[in-house]
Amino acid sequence: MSTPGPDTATRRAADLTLAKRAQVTARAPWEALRQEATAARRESVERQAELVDLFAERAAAKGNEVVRAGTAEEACRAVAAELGDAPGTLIKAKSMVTEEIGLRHHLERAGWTVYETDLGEWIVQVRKELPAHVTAPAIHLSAAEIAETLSGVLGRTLSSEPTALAGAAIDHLRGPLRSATVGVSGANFLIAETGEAVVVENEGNAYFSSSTPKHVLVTGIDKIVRKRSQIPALLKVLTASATGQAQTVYTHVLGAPHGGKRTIVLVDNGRSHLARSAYADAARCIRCGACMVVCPVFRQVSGHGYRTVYPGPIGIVVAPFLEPRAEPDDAPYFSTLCGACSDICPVTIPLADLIAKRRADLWRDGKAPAMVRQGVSLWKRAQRGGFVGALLRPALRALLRHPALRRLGQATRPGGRR
Amino acid sequence: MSAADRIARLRTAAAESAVSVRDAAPEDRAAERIEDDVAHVLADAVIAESGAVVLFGGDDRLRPAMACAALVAHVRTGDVVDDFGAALDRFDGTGRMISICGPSRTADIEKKLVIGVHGPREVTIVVHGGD
Repeated sequence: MSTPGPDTATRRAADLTLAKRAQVTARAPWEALRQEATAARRESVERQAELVDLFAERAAAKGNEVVRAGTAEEACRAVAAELGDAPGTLIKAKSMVTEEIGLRHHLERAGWTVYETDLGEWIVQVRKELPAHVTAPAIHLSAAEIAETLSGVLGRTLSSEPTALAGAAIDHLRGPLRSATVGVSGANFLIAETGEAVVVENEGNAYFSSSTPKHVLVTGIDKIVRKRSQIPALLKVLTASATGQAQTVYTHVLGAPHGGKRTIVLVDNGRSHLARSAYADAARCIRCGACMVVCPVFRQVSGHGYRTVYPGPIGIVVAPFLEPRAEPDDAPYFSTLCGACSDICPVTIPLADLIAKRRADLWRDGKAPAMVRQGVSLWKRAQRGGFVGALLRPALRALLRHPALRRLGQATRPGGRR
Repeated sequence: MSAADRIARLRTAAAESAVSVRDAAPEDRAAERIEDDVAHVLADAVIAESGAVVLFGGDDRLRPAMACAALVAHVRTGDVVDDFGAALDRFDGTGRMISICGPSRTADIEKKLVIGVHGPREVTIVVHGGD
């Protein structure tokens, strides 16, 4: 038997997530929740600037220090300045924004020892990889591969049994988690009217990372929502879509700091531009990753195939704004435009339409990849008829029936959706 | 929803979240303390919809509760609320609100559930009569 490769691990994990999600959504008034969540996030995008200002004012009034960062570099510098120039050990909870701005590497270069404390995130940290999915960082790895990695890191042979692997990681992280005095975390939502931040998690590591004497919360301005009463529906659609849970084990609402110091770094880094662009619908995203596990292409190539921090259908749309330097022009073609992403999105982002629009924009700007430009001209030539056309047409039809392409088609609509 | 209905709903939801619920016995002392790695807390609210224990306050109170192996939350029936929104309505914004719904867990390795990570691995709700 061959060792399962990354694509196999991804597909198995994706199927389990989708099955659990289906159970939770079947028991909830799902469409109503989805519409409520969409309306709340629409307001977030339309009133982004005003709501972020209100949040900054209210959070500061509660005793938080609030810092605005326009770019990734500014955000990293703001965090480093807040942490001071006597680097030590810090614990970190999972945050995609910190991956986007490269915070861990920035701090490590400054001499800090940074412990990612979310299990999946720690696994990809020690492998020197990016997370392969926004809420399931190690989705691309089998337990056997994780056992091999962790055995190397911990210097003893570990079995590939998940409980044993998790236990070894928990023991390793416990010391820093309990004793560190500096913690960094992200946030899932920011409530403008109350200046509060909402964080969800299952392991308890985000609690410890956000309750250190010094806590720096780093998040994007797109996490803003207007009011508390919008939170319950947003949490329900988020947890159901991300992990197939009706709720996570822990939900934290961070108000006025009590006994410690909290600095909130609000990162723009392309977000205000996205919210005012023709792709503004994508600014509603709550980073659940459902569009990834349902995508026939993601299920084949997993997250690293996209070569961006944000992978999958949503990554194709937001990376040009949030990661302009990474922007691979072939990413919009990592899609069959089947629409499974649009159908599953808990905040009804028309992802397939936006991906098609991105392709049209690239074509218009002459930036479509060579393979696409040559492919299109080949089809045009075939349709023109004549001797060359008569030869080309059957050849191109045979190419479309190639087993590799057929397999891609069969992976569509996993779990018998529709 | 009546208090009795709410308690019934709590029992069903708690079972699904792997939270034990029991009525207070005469020897159950509703006072915050740590005993043999078990944190006893007076819940500020318990959520009937999910079986979550809700605590408000500073980390001087919450950290010991999160660091213990087991959590026992004492709650008066009057503090059992319908849902997360109702619990959030009670939070005055000082410190943190934490909702704890069952044992800490992870499914980061092949989506296989592992119970007991960095927070308590057992959560029990003890219901004390009265408001």
